[in-house]
Amino acid sequence: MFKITKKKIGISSIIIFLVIMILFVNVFDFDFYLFRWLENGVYNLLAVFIGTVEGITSSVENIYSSFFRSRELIQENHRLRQELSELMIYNISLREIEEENQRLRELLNLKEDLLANPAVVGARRIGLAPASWEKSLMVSAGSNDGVEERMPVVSYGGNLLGMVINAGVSSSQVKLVTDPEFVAGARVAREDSRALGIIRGQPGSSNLLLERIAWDADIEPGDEIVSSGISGDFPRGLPIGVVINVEPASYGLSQSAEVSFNLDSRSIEEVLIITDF
Amino acid sequence: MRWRLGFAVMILIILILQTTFFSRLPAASFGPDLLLVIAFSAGFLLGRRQGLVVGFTAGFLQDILLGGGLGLYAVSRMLTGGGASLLQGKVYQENFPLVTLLIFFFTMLHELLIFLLSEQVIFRIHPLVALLQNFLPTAVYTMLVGILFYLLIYYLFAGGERAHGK
Repeated sequence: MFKITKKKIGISSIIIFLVIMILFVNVFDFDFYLFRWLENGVYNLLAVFIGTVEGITSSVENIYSSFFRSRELIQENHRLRQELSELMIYNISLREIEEENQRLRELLNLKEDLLANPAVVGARRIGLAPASWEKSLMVSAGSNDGVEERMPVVSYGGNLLGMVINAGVSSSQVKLVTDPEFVAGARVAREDSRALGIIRGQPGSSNLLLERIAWDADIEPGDEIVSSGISGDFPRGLPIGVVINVEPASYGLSQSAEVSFNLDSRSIEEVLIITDF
Repeated sequence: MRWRLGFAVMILIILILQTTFFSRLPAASFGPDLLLVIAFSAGFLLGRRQGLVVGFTAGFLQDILLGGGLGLYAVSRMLTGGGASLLQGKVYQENFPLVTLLIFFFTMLHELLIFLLSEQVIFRIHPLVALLQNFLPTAVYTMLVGILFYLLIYYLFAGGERAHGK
């Protein structure tokens, strides 16, 4: 028989209080200093263990790779050297174009607003979020390296990957663009179209969704999508993905497009955090 | 004291495994939900208080690794531990096939709870798609790997060794 005792009432009250407090903090997004301090402390402690284990796992993988994939690695190295030479030549022509662009801007008195020589910090992936729907990474650079919350994160190829949501002492957490809660301004990067929209992650899918595009905007499959830079959180022009299909939304009042995101979070090993742009 | 230390070490090891090792595997989502198995086992084998404490601790640490602070997992894992304790004395702890099914059932319930409480997910994915792509693979994976962890906890903390000896 179930008996109500003072002890049971006490335990139940504590649990109910705890549940309500947690939900309250989350729903209204309160930032209690004590919680923050506790979370950061525990996170920094956990990050040490996770970083150590990941370091050991990576070392073992590297040893395995050097033994069994040496031929493949030599070929890859050769290809990358060739690509580097090509890019260096391309870079020289780009510099000339940049100088020309700068001169023309000065003539027209236009303000510079493109991503020019951003300050970046390189980091290694040390873990993935242990959750069903959330998509986030743990990376090996933190506040000691100048990393702060809300800094943009890109891949080594320059693709937008996400944003720093928590900067620990020597590691940080990065919310990926594929996370259902991630939102950023984006636009079409075509000569004759600059259609604007909002890019979001989709639950259960590696593709992204470009929403709130004007109903008459010029957008079609194959268009490249880049960051718009309107919000100020991300630099302008970071590549995000390519449009797969476009369909009307909100009863024809707007359009939405499915955008492919080619970077699998499991395969991202190294990232760049843009600390200043 | 022994169970506290034992469970603390297990939670730490499992968190590290889920963040590093299982994230490298291509299988369902983030791998088997072993933190749920820990919370379930603590409640089912040791009692309500242990289930609630272990569930809350595991969920709290998981929430911290997700960058959101105190959140859904602290509540959901605590409820899992508390819910499992309600079955204590009603289901034989040694009935392993039934315990396997219970782990499956609890994982499904937990996934459903997270789905219902995630505002950015619930309105943006069809429940059937979520069931087939997420709930079922995670539940089957957790059930298969989780029973091994249950056995480990049973023998380490719930006198399984003595029961087996008898």
